[in-house]
Amino acid sequence: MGGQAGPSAADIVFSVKTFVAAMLAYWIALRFDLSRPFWAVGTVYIIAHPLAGAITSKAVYRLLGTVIGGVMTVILVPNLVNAPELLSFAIAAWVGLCVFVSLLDRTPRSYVFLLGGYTVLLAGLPLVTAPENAFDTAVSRVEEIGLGIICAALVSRVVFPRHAGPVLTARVDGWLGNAARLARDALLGERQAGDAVRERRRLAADAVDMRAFATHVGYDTAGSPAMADLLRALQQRMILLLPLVSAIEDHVAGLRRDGALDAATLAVLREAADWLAAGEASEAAAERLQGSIDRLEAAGAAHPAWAGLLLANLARRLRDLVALWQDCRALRADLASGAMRSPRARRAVAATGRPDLHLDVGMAALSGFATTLAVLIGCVLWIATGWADGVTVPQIAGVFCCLLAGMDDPVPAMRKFMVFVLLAAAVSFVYQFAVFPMVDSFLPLAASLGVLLIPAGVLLAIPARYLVGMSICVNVPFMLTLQSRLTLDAAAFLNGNIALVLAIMLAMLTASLVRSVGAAASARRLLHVGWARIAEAASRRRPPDHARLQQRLLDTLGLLAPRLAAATRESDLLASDLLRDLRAGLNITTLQRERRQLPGPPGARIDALLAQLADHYRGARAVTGAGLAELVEAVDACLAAVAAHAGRPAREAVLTLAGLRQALDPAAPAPRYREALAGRQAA
Amino acid sequence: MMQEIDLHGVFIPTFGVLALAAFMALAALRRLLHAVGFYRLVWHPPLFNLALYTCLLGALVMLARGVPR
Repeated sequence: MGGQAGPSAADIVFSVKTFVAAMLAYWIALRFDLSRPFWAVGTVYIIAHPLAGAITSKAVYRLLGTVIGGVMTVILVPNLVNAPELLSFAIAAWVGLCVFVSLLDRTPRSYVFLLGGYTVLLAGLPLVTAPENAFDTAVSRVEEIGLGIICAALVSRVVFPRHAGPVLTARVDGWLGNAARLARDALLGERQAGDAVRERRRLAADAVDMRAFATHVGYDTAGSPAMADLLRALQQRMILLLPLVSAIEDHVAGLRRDGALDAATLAVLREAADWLAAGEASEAAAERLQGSIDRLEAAGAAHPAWAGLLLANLARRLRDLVALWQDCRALRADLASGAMRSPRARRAVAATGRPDLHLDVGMAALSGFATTLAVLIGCVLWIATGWADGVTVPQIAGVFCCLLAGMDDPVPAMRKFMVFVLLAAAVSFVYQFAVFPMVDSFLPLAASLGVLLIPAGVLLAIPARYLVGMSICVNVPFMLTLQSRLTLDAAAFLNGNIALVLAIMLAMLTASLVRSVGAAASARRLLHVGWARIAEAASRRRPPDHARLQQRLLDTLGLLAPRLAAATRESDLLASDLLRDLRAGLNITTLQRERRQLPGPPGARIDALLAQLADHYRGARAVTGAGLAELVEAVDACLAAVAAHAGRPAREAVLTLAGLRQALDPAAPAPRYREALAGRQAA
Repeated sequence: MMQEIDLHGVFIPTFGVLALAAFMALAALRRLLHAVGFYRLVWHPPLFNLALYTCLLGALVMLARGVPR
């Protein structure tokens, strides 16, 4: 999207469009003599987004949430009208509940619940002292927000709409290009180990982000409904790519260390790398590559040692990679054309399950509690001091807690926001007392606002500057309390802004007291969740479905990635590689399945190993890597025991065990029982 | 204690001034304690800071209006 260097023409068009929508909303609100026109103006800026589809989805969610909040206000206020304390408490509890629910819904839809929460705050809280206005206030808020939403959606879709399609394909292309480069480097072994880990983490985070994007795409009428399905399928394939690439990298490195990487294998790897790098490849090339991979597997089966197992496993992973990449290409091509055409894409979409997301109930509950606490403290301050404008304190403190509920540590963001709020207050002061007295009709007023809001709106389009643009564009209309008549009341202005600053301070206070955990603690929490899942997979008789475990762990990894990037000094965290653990987990589920075909002593050996693995991951020893050597030894012993048996199930289990060993510790030297393996091959 | 301080015609509540002064004192004290390494002994620093602020503000209010008997 928007360039980092400077605003593009599209950004400026977006800003002008948003401004036109805001002024349209303002003008209509004035014509209909609504009581708080600035809510409509502020709403236009709150939902502003460069993409037409995203505006529509945000608008729908905001409208829905506002209606829920309005209904809740009308329910709560008349019933608890005689007890302001109870009413404040009920509102605070409701907002906390909404934050809790919205954090459990990890899609853009969570906005509905947030809005349902803070609409009650904004519309209902002032009624604690003046309950007779309950219905009017709730209705006028729904009206004004509805007006703002309709204007924003209308203008963004009618005037130069910018659809998600091209932006989307550009993003997907960028991602696939990066992934192809990563895969190429893994195949050719051309990258520093640390770089590759960082890059994979980044790609995992991007892939998880893409899910939110898919939700917006569903609201963009320019794309067919198939678009969202295609994108979801592609996103899932993207995520599957990462453990495969990591496995291939470890296998190639293992072969190289053993000196078993011969010219034929290298040729196959190079062929695969070239095939990946080619933008559009023919079916024939894929067929040829498949043939080479088959030969590689045959060579691995004939090779009488550890290296043979690695070769055979490598061939399997390569075959998976080719199939996955073909899926990605087909989906990408259909995404560009906007219709589901190729049978391969259709199959891929059909195979896409519902995403199984990681939910942190404890953290969500804590966030909800922090919000409730902020609102309660604010209410106590407001009612106890008898400061009429103090109602802003619980309101805005609650809104801040809502909006930043998803962050690990919202305090730095709030501190930054505070600076911009002060800036916006200074600008508003100038407008209110120097500019507006000279303005006598709507057009000059709009023009004078445009001087400020259009340049600030450009910032809104640049992701890195979003916070600055947001705090100016949204706060200024609210601070000016744009009304139909000019009010030159310095006391009201100061009261309002002091309350705003106090509100942000209160939000910072409760957030830091209750739930500011920092990226490192959050990352550790996620790691432990991942390990617990692997331990569960290893210890259960009936392991969870392979694909499901993979999805859940990759989702965790995607959440983990940005946090690991933030926790630079935490060396023990950076040493951990959840992707490798994920591969271990996948091998464990495969092993569980194969164990059922293996009765007798080898089966018992595998059971013992699985118990040991479960113990390892449950004890969270995975973080330090302690006990890894014993684990690898146990895998080797099991490998030797199973390899002594002939037959297809034993062979499969041996291959899985080799994959597991490579996932646990790729740097471990080759096992020392070549004799046993060689004996089996001879027999 | 005077309820409000007259600043060229703008009346500022004394409590507000004291609250601000206590905040400044807290900021200075926090920096000092950080330098000494005191925060390594604290379980939940934000909670400790809040308590410290409350103590500082209480002390200032007492100083301003005299210790109640």
